[in-house]
Amino acid sequence: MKNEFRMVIVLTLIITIAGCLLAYTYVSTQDDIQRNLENSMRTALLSVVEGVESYENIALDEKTSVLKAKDSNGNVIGYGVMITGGGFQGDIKLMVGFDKDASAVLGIEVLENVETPGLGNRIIEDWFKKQFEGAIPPIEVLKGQKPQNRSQIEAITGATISSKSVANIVNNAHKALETYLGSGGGGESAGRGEEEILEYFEKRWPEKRLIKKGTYYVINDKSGQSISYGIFSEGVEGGDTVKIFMTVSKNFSKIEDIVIMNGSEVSVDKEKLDELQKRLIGESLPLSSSNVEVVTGATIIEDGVVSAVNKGFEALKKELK
Amino acid sequence: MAQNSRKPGYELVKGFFKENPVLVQLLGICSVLAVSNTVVNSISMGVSVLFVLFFSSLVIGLIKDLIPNEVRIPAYIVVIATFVTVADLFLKAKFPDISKALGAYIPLIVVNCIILARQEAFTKKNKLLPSILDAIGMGTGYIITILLMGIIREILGFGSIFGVKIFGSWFKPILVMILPPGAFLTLAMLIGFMNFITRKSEEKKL
Repeated sequence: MKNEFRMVIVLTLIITIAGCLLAYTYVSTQDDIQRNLENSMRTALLSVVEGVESYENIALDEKTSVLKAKDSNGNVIGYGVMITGGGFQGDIKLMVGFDKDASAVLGIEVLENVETPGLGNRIIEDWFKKQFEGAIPPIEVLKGQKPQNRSQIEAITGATISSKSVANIVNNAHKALETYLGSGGGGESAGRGEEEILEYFEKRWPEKRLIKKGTYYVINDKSGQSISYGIFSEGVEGGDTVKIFMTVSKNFSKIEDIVIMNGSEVSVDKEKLDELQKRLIGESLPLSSSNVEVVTGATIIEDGVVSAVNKGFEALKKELK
Repeated sequence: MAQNSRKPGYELVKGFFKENPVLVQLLGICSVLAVSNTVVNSISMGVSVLFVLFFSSLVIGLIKDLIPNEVRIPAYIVVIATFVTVADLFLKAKFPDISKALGAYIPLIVVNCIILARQEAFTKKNKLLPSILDAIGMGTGYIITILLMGIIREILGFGSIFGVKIFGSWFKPILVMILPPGAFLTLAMLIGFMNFITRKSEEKKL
């Protein structure tokens, strides 16, 4: 009995001391480790987007983060997506640079890879990475053929899987960026667009719950109390379709939140859309074109949005009567 | 093995060649095979193992009489794991590139047989000073072996040493040398060479 008691005491003591030592080491190295991470991220971003003065890092999930690259005036000049995906032997971590419309790849940088040295590992070679400059996702990998257009790249001889993995990760980075920016990626994929909007909404207001009820959504707070309603709607102006998702306060008086989905025909700067969205939040319903302040350069889409909002409002009223 | 009678100097040098942990005892081969593809990786791995081995032997040598025999293995493992984690965090903070190259092999030093084997076979039965000398000797033996592997594999597989190209453009690297088969081939050659020398010197004595 005495011996057992001693065992417990000795082990506890050793573990306590070890724990203290580890805690001390951990705390004193964290700053450096964090700085190294920042540095490698910054270097990679600078090599894929030109003229970056500062950046904003938004982590989307464990494996993906979006870096908003800004120039000296604070204008967004492009995006970097840091993303990890599967390769031939293990994970590949890439920094993918996109232009500010998120339409073309500016460049890629391989941060980490454990591909076969001399074969798959050649994804770090310049000629391979250069193929992605100016490429339009989704990117397709050709084997033993010269690329015909800007969405194709040539595979590394003997390392087709590694080449395809990189292209795949770049395509995923593009999807992640589009989702983050809230653009549905074209009218033909309305279903996917809706899902993305719902995801976006859930990320933005994690404490609220969306429950689908036929054509509209009931939004509950944490305790299950319904607090507002949401609906998808479309408006047409000058032949352009504008899709939106909006939430309306329980007494139907105000727009609580609104997300404008970029239809395929509408091409307006992301910032202008953001500005428009911001102005619409809190507006009283129904909207008239005249009481929404015009955002320069976005007049047409604005009219489309107003008609979409009002249509959605009418539909919601009808549903809930 | 009653090693108490031996001279301290012998405890230090025996690990270099005569009882080399990798080439003679065939311990810790996993990491030797995995990260010996370049000289820099080899040195970093070797120094990390030496560090962990030294401090583990030091601490275990100091506290071994307090530890009840039944729980000695968990106690040893806690001590070893602590130093491994310290080494891992230190590399991550100060040498991020090396830390990336060595990947999972630093945390895996915990289960590297050399470390636990030395505690069980030597530190447990000997005084503090011989134990420390033994740790330094064994750690150095590990470094010598992994460094030899690194030099051979980097020269043949990359045509470089410390990352600097040493051949002209005529040299075509032998790719297999930096791949796993190259590691097995090199280690086998070294062990064969070691056995050859040992046999020769024994024949001389006779």
